[in-house]
Formats: sequence, structure tokens, C-alpha cells
Amino acid sequence: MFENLAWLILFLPLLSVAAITLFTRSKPRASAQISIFAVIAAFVLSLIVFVFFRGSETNSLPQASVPWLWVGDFKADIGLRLDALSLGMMLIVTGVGSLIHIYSWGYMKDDPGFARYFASLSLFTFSMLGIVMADNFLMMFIFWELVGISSYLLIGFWYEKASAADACKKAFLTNRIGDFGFLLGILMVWAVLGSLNFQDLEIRLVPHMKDYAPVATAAGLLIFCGAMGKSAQFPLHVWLPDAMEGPTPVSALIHAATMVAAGVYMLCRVFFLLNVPGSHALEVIAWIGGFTALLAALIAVQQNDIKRILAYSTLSQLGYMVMSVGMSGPTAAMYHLTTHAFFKALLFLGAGSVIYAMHHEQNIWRMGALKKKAPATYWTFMVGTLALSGVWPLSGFYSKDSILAQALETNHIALFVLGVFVALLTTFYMFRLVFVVFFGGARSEAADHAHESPDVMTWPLRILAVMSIIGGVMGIEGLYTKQFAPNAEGHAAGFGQQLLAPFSHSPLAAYLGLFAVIMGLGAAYALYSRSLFDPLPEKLGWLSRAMRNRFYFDELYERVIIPFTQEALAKFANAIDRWIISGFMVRGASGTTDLVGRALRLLQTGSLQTYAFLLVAGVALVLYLVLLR
Amino acid sequence: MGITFAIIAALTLVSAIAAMSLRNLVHCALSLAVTFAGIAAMYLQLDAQFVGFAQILVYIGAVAILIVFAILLTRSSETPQPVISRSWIMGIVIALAVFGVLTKVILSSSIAQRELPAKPAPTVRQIGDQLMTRYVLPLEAIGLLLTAATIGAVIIAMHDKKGRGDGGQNVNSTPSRAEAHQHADETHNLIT
Amino acid sequence: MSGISYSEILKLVAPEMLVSLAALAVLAIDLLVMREAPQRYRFWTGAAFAGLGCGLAIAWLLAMNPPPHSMSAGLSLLQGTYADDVLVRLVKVALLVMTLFTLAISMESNFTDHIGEYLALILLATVGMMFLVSSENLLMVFISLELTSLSLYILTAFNKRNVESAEAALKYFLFGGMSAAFTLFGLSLVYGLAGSIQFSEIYSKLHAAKIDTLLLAAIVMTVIGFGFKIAAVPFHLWAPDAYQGAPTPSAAFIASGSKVASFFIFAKLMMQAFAGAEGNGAWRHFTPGWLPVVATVAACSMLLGNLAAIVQGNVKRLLAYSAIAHAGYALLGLLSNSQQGMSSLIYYIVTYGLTVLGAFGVVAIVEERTGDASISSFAGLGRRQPLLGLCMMVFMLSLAGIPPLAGFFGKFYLFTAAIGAGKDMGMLWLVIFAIAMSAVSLYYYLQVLKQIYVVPAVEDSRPIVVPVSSRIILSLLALVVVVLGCAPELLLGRLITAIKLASHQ
Repeated sequence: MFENLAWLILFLPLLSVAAITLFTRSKPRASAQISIFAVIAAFVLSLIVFVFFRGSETNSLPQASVPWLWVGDFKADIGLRLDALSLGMMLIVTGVGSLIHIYSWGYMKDDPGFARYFASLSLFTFSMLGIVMADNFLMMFIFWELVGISSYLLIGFWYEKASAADACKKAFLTNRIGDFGFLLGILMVWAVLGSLNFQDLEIRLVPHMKDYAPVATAAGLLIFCGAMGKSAQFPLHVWLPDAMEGPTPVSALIHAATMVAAGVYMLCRVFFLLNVPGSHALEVIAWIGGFTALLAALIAVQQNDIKRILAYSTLSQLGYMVMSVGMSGPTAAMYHLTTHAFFKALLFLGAGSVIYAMHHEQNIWRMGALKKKAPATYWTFMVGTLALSGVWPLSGFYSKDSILAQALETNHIALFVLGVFVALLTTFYMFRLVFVVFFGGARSEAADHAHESPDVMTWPLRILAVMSIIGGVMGIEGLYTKQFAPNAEGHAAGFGQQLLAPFSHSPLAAYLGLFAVIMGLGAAYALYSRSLFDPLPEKLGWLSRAMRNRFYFDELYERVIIPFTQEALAKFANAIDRWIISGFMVRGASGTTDLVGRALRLLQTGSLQTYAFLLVAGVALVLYLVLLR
Repeated sequence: MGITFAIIAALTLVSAIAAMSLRNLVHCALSLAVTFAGIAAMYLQLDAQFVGFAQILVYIGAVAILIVFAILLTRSSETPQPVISRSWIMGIVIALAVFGVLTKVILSSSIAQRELPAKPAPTVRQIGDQLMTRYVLPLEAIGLLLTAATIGAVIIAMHDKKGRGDGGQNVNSTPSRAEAHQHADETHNLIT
Repeated sequence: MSGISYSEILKLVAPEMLVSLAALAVLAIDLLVMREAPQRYRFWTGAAFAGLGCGLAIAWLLAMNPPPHSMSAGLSLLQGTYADDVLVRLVKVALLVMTLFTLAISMESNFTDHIGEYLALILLATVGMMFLVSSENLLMVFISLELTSLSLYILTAFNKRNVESAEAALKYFLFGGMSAAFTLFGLSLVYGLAGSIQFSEIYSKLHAAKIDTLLLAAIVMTVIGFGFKIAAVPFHLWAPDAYQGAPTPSAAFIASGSKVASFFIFAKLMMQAFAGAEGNGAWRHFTPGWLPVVATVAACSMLLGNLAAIVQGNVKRLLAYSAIAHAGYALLGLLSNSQQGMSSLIYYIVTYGLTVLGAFGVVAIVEERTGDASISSFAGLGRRQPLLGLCMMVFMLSLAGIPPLAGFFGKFYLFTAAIGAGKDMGMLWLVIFAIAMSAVSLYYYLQVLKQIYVVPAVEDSRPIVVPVSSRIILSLLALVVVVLGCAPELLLGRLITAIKLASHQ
């Protein structure tokens, strides 16, 4: 019965896409209502299944799968896997998704593409649920690509804007590089272990360890490539900030709460394939994650566009999660993923509300003093900022602390220090944002006439704010612990104990984390609480320029890698072909359509000989390769 | 067989080269006929009488004559410039390379050591039998092939009636483009 | 040699006969009765008859039970000039379906007055392909290959109003002639070595002995002929010009039906007749045989096809280069040299054929309405004719291998077949290369989609009127692409059973 409910959860959003495209395309309000209803219904159903799951003592609900393709050794199912990991993620996708759907109703009110927008949003929800619930690699990959497509549809939503179209292209191409590795990794795992089903793989891994161990590092890193693309890890991180060209609720849903987290989720899902003795994949993953966290945090310090600051902050937090997976801490990673979904969605929606209030102005140096103009937005944004910075007792503190504790436990001292430093930077840039946007004086006409957003937009903010506050003490960590370490005891039982658990469990991590927050806050207050312009560029000089220009990665890619690889190769190939086909052999099309005359002309210009020459040269080459080498 | 074969082979090769390189098209056609005859002679030498005579009848009797007719009926038979393209040296190098590889391969192959099989003595009757029984389908397929070829020949030779439908439109609408290409073509001719 | 039963043979080749008769009937009716009728009317009548012939042949193939494995007396007389089993029938049905779609696509184009001849040639080419698929004998392979090729040369030249058409046909013809000469030379060498033209006898003669270098030369020559037919590098030189210059339906047929038949018989020849002479195609472990030859050809095709496609400004030319690239992918199936490889190859090439037919169908309409097939003439298609734009999106994304469309599953299955082939994942290098290249390929398909959906129409933004029949046909093809992607088993299941049955024979 619960399996059938799960199918319903998966397909509700798809049904709404079908209904919108087939029937209500021309009726924006009805379309939006269908879409919103579908996602809320999916949330309620997920909640029911979840409650049942919590009630049962099992580690996962029975799998519901339908054989899709069984040919020879090749078996692929369409199946749903329902365990703590996927159920938790389903709740995030549908729950946060519902709030964002509702918020969009207000934010996108006057857009001509209202119906199209909601259809894409539903399509995205469907594909994201597909990734989360998939019980095998093939299905996951299919939905992985579908998520890609629907997110490109949403990024490119305002496709009249050239920058949006470019961003869309960039996201697509970068992700293809990641997916290239992912697909290859999947094939490799299939070739060695002979299955695509996660559960099967886990079972088969034990007897086949001898075969798998030699390729474990390669396969693990290839699979990680997929996460690198989707979760925008260095060096494929360049697409995410550009993707902010899409509507702001989309940024909240896709580029903060759900899709970008899919990479982390996938790594956790296949953690057993990474965590193989003799494999160095995890080590690499941890360092790439750590590096991304640091790099993005540094860049965020000197951005001036409100959405870009949040985008780099997301990058940085994703780096945190990936680092945690790499340090054998999938529980901590998923924990942070969950709380991050709350407060980052909150921050993005808050930013959306600010942008809405400012009539689509995104530069923070043209805002100011919005605290009074938009109080609800201010308070909720403040909660989000505190949670992201990791202030006790908000949710961010707990999840961040568990990652830092994980670093200490596994003796990754360098990464621990890096993590603390990033926490400091996070607090600094977030409070820079808050001080500049909400305090001080109005820096522009628009800021003077700003107004609070309608209720349909502020209520989702309030709900998310509550979640961001209590996220740390709801027992989320216990949920994921059940998945990854079923035998470990939960280390907190009562509410009070849970509240203080980090300080007793890993005091060094907790206190250093708080210390970093205080340092960051102090620095931000000193520099930005009253300033009209940014004092940092003067103090830091070239470093600040480098930060503002994102350490020149985009330029590097655009000027060096793209022209020197793809386009150069393409031009080269084309030149050769042109040379052979038209230049060298037969000049264009001319003269009469008289075939005989044409044949004679070919003969006369010597093209015929050239034809024969090239063909025979090809033959000679192949003969040489095969026979004489 | 050595000396006869050498003479026939030399004749065939020389006439084939002549057919490629002579400037007068009628001469080319005649050299081609000699080539065909040389090949027929080789078949006969190998005791493949049916194939040999068929070669004479079809290729010399029909194909070569048809070619000569076509040349005489269509245009002046003198080509305006040398027919050998500039890259002939490269062509010869490549051809020699392939020839060398094949020679080497054939000589080193087990076929070279194999003793000659006994000469079969198939009669025309047997060949006919085979064609009507075992190879009846290939025969049919060849029939279809010829049908297709006939249709094609008619289509390609036939002049399209202009002014029907939008027939002439395309041709008329692009004179400048055709001229441009003609120009390019001439410069190309000059270069080669 | 006595006791041959022609009626039995006739019954055996009934599908081919039906199509040939349809060809003659179409020709006769058009020339004798319909000469003065309006063009459209002529076309409909002719296409109806041609379609009827194909339809009857399909019905025959599906309805009649395939012959029992112990062949009857009349059949054994034919000795491999004509093979008939479930697999062959399945491929023939696919071919006939493609012919039907080609006829349907031709309906809207208006490039010739010789309608009867045009349709008859399409049908004759189909007969050639059907014979090709059925042959297990070098003679039959060559003759049916020539029948197909010759018909296609003429189909390419059919647009006598377009200078490029004649040019393209001539290139196609000359190149085809030369590669046919090489093929024939290779086949004669095989005959010389094995003393037989029968696939099975060639195998039994050759597989035991050490690989003769002359056999390798013969194989190379044979590969050239097929490399030409499937437009694989370096025998692809004709393809871009032929695709661009030929009337669009002809190009569609060259890209779909002809490829399916050639690929099928190529694989059969290599896997059956030359089964002892594979060699090794693993990276850095090349040992002579047909695997390394085909592997080299496949790698070159993927590289050149995908890279050159990026810079094309004409959609037909772009599709030509993409066809070259797809030939490269499909060869992976052959390189797996296994039953799974065979099934993945056929699945891939059939779905590819259907997709590319659809793409050419859209191109034909756009070309007809805007005057040319350059990429920019697709600008704003998404708004001028939403259905056409949507169909083209499905086709392009399927070609790029995006799930859940047929192209994705085809590629995925090909890759699993190739990666599982041989020992120690010897084909891994080529699979990596193929995945990388298919990532590149997305770029140029997106360029087309960008024109359709993003770039506004410049000169003329009025809606494009498309007749209902074309809409139905294109939507049907798009639907097939989606359905085969979501439920590949519909085709693949049959293929696999058929291949199993055929191999037990």
C-alpha cells in the first residue's frame, strides 16, 4: 500500500505537467493551482509514508519495482527505494518545494509565461523526486538528465535575455562534462559488479571485492564527476552563479535547496561504493569539497549582487557537504544538506522579496535601510543569516558542528582548520550583506520607496524561518544515523540534551565554530555597519580584485580552454573536410545540370583523379595499419 | 604459360594507361576496347571460355561501341587540356604502395604455395543450370538492377520540361550564383 | 539438381516480389493512366500503391510463420542466396516501415515531375535492401548492394532543378563505384582463400587456420565497401554533399533504410564469415584482424563527424556529419562481437533511422516553406509552428542521447555491450571516447534547438501552414522515438529472442 502511495508521490507532479500542457495552458491561474496542489499533495503523502516508516522498525520499506527491461545479463527496473535517506530527501523536495511554489504565485504574478513557469516547476519536481526515489543507477541517471533539462528550461525561462540564454548553455555544457564521467562510472560499476540496482550492488560488493578494489578509485572518482557537475564543485563550479539569471524562486528551489544537493545525495546513496578499502576516491573528494568551500567563500566576500553572494555561499556550503562525505561522514553531510535546504531557501526567497521590493534591483550598494520598509523580510532574513553562520541554537550550528566534529574524529586536521576558517568567512560575508541591505541609509531612490511584499510571499518565509530555527533539534541527525550506522546509538535523547549535545560530544569543534562566528560578526560590524561604500578593495588591493572577478576562472575557461579545445578542433576538422571535399576536389556547384557535361568537367579538372587518390590513400593507410605494423 | 601471359598482361596494361591519358576521346575508347580484349584473352588462357567470350561479346561488341557512339554524338572529341592532374606523382606513389603491399601479402600468403587445382571444365549448360536453380535469385536481382539502371538513364538523360509547375524557377533565380561558381571554376582550372 | 520448385521459391521471396510488383505497378500506372492528372493527385495515387505493396509485404512477413529450421528441399537449393529467419524478418519489417515513412515524407515535396519513376526507384532500392538483409552469400551481398546503391544514386540526382543535386549524385556515384571495385576485389580474395562464397563455409574453412595476411587484406577491402555505405571515416567523403544536394526525402532514405540494411549485413558478414579473424582491438594490444580495422574506423568517424558537425550552417549537412558520427557509435555494437552487440547495433540503428527520418521530415517542410535548409531558416520555428518545433526537439535530443528518448537508451545499451565485450574491458578506450564525443555532439544539436526556440524569426514570422497528413506522420515518428525510449523492450525483446533463435540454427 505504501509502495503505491510512493508511486503516486512520484507521478503527481508529472500529472500536473500533463494537465497544464494539455488543458490549462492558456489559463495561468488554473495552471498554477494545479501545480501547487500537486506538490502539496505530494508533500502530505510523503509525510504519511514517512510517519509510517518511523513507526516501523525496519531500515527501509519494501521496494516497489517494475521490471522495465530484462535482456540477457542486462537487467533494469523502474523501482523506488524508500529508506531514511530517500524519505528525508523527499520531504525536503516536496516540503520546501511547496513553499516555493506558493511564493512563486506572488513573485511571478505579472509574468506572461506564468503557466509555462509552473509546468516547468512541476516537471522539475517530478524529475528531482525521480532521482531521490530511484533504486538503481540507470533510473537515477535518466532522472539526473531530466533534472538537468528542466532546470535549463527554468534558467532559460526569460530566454529573451541574452545572458539567460548564455547561462543556460553554460550550465548545460558544464553538466555534460560531469555526466560524461558519471555515465562512464556507472558503466564501469556495471561491468565489474554486473548490476545496476543499489541494493544488489551492496550485496554483490562483498563477494566481488577482489574484482572491484582495483578499479574502486577510478570508478569512485568517475561517479563523483557527476556530483561535481550537478553540485558545482571545483573545477566545474562556474555555471552555478550564472544560473542566477533565472527567476529568484527558481534559484531558491533548484540552486539552493534541491537540485544542487542532488550530487551530495547521490554520493551518500552510493557511499558504499566509495568507502572501499584501498580506494583513494574519498580523500580526493574531501579535498575538492574543502577547496570549493574555501574558494567560493572568498569570492562571496567581494560580490555586490545579492543573488550572487548567495550563490557563492551555496557553492561554499555544498563544498562543505562534499568534504564531509569525503571524510566518511555521509550522516553529517545529509544533516547539513537538510538544514541548508531550509535556511538557504529562506535566504533566497528573502532575497527575492528584497528584489521585489526594490523593483528588480540586485546591487546591494543601491539598497539600504530596508529593515523598516520590509520588517517581515528583515526578520526572516536575519534568522536565515544566523542559521547559515552557525549561531547556537539555530539549525546551522548543529549541522556545521557535526561536520567539523567529523573532521576531528577522522583526523583531518587541515580540513578542520579550513572548515573553521570558512565558517568565519561565511559569517563575515553574510553580515556584510545584512548590514548593507537592511541597515544604514537608503542608497538610492528605489530603496527609499521600497515596500513589503504581499502575504503570499512572506508566509513561506516565516515558515522556513521557524524550520531554520528548530531544524537542529528535530532529530534529523538521528534519522540519517539510522541509515548509515544502524547499530550506533543516537547520542541525544531528550530535548535539553539535544540542545547542548555538541558541547559535550565534541567541545573543541563546537567552541571553535562559535569563536569563528564571533570573529566574523565582529569584523563585518566594524567594516560595514555604517559604511556607504565597500572599504575592503582599498585594504586588500589585488586580492579584492581577484575575489571580485571570481579568481578569473570564467575568463580562464572562456579565453583558454574553450577556444583551444572544442572550437579549435571543430575548425580544424571542418577545414580538413572543406579542403578535401570542395577545395581540393570539386569546386562548388556550377554550370548546367547536364550530368554528362559535369562528368567530363570533373575529368578535366583532375578532380576524378583526386577522388581516386584520396580513396586509395585511405586504403593504403588502413592496409599499412593492419598488415605492416 | 609464362610468355603468353606476359604479352597479354603488358598489352592490357599499356592500353589501359593509354585509355586514361590520351587526349582524343575516340582514341581513349579504342584503347579501352583493347584492354577489354586483353582481359578476354586472359580468361581464355585460364580456360574460362564462357566468360572469355561473354567478355568479348558484351564489352567489346556492345559497351565499347556504345561509348564510341556516345562520344561521336555528343561533342567534339578533343579535350582542351592535359587530363593528368598535378598530383599525379603522389597518385603514383600511393598506387605503388598499395601494389607493393598487395604483392607482398600475396607472395607471403599460403595461396602462393598452394598447388594449382585441377582445371574445371564447366560447360555453358552447367552454368545455365546453376543460374536457373541455385543462383536464380541473384539473377532476378540483376534483372531489377537493370530495371533501375534503365529508369535512371532515362531520368538523367531526359530534359525537364521547363515552365511546368515551378520548374524553371530555381534555375532562373540563381544565375548570379552559377556565374560566380563558373568564375571560381575557371580560376581553379588555371591553377591545375 | 533436379526437383527445384519455383513456386516454393516464389512463396519464400513473396515480400520482395510484392514490393517489386508494386514498383512496376506504380511505374505503369503513372506512365499510362495518370500522365495528365494534377501532380498532387498523381503522387497520392502512386504513394497509395507503393504503400499498399509495402503494407502487404509487412503483413506477409508478420503473418507467415518463418520456415522451420530444417530447410525444405526447395530452400536448400538456394544455399544461402536467401536466408529467412525471425531476425531477418524483423529487420525487413523495420526497413519497410522506413520506406513507408520515406514515401510519406516525400508527399509534401515538389521537386520532380517524374513521380512514377521516383516512387518506383524507392521501392527498387527497398527490394535491394531486403535482398541484402537476406543474403548469406558473397555474390548475393554484392548484387543487392549494387541494386540498392544504384537506385540511391539516381534518387540523389532526382532534383533536376537543383545544380547541387546532380553534383551530389555524381560524387556519390563515383565514390560508390570505386569502393564497389575494392569490395569486389576483397570478396574475390576471400573466395580465393576459402573456395566458397557461402558465409558458413568461409567460416569453417578459415577459422581454424592461422590468419593469413592475404585474408587481412581481403577484410580491409571488404570493410571499405561497407564503410562507404555507412559513411564511416575515411570513406565518408561523399556523404555531406550527397545529403545536402539530394532531395530531402532521398537523403532521409539514404540515412535510414540504406544504413539499417548495410549495418545488418556488415555485422553478419564480420561476425559469421570472419568469426575466426577478429584480432584484438584493445588499446595498445592491437593484433591484426577486423576488430582493429573497425575500431580505427569507428574512432575516426566519431571524431571527425562530431567535430565537423559543430561548424555546419546547413541542417542537412549537419545531419550528414551527425550521421557519420552515429555510424561510429553504432560500430561499437559490431565491435562487441557478441549477441548483445548485435542486438544493440540493430536497436540503435533502427531507432536512429526512425529519428533521422523525422528530422529530415521537418527539414523537408522547412526547406519547402523558407527556400533553404540553413540553420537560420529554422529561426522562430517554435512559434511559427509549435508542433513542428516540438517534434524537431524530440528528434534532436534523441540524436544527442538525452533520456528518456530512444537515442539515450540505444547509446546506453551499446555502451554496456561494448564495455562487457572481450576480457578486461578491452573496448573501454573506445567507449570513453564515444561518451566524450556524444557530450560534444549535444552542442550542435542545441544550436538547432536554439534557433527554433530562442532566436526570433527575422524576415517572416507568419505561422507555417503544415498539412494534417504531415503533422500526423511527424508526430507519429516523435511518439515512436519517445515510446521506444521509455519502453525499449518493445523492440529489444523481439530482437533478442530473434537473435537467440537465429544463432541456434
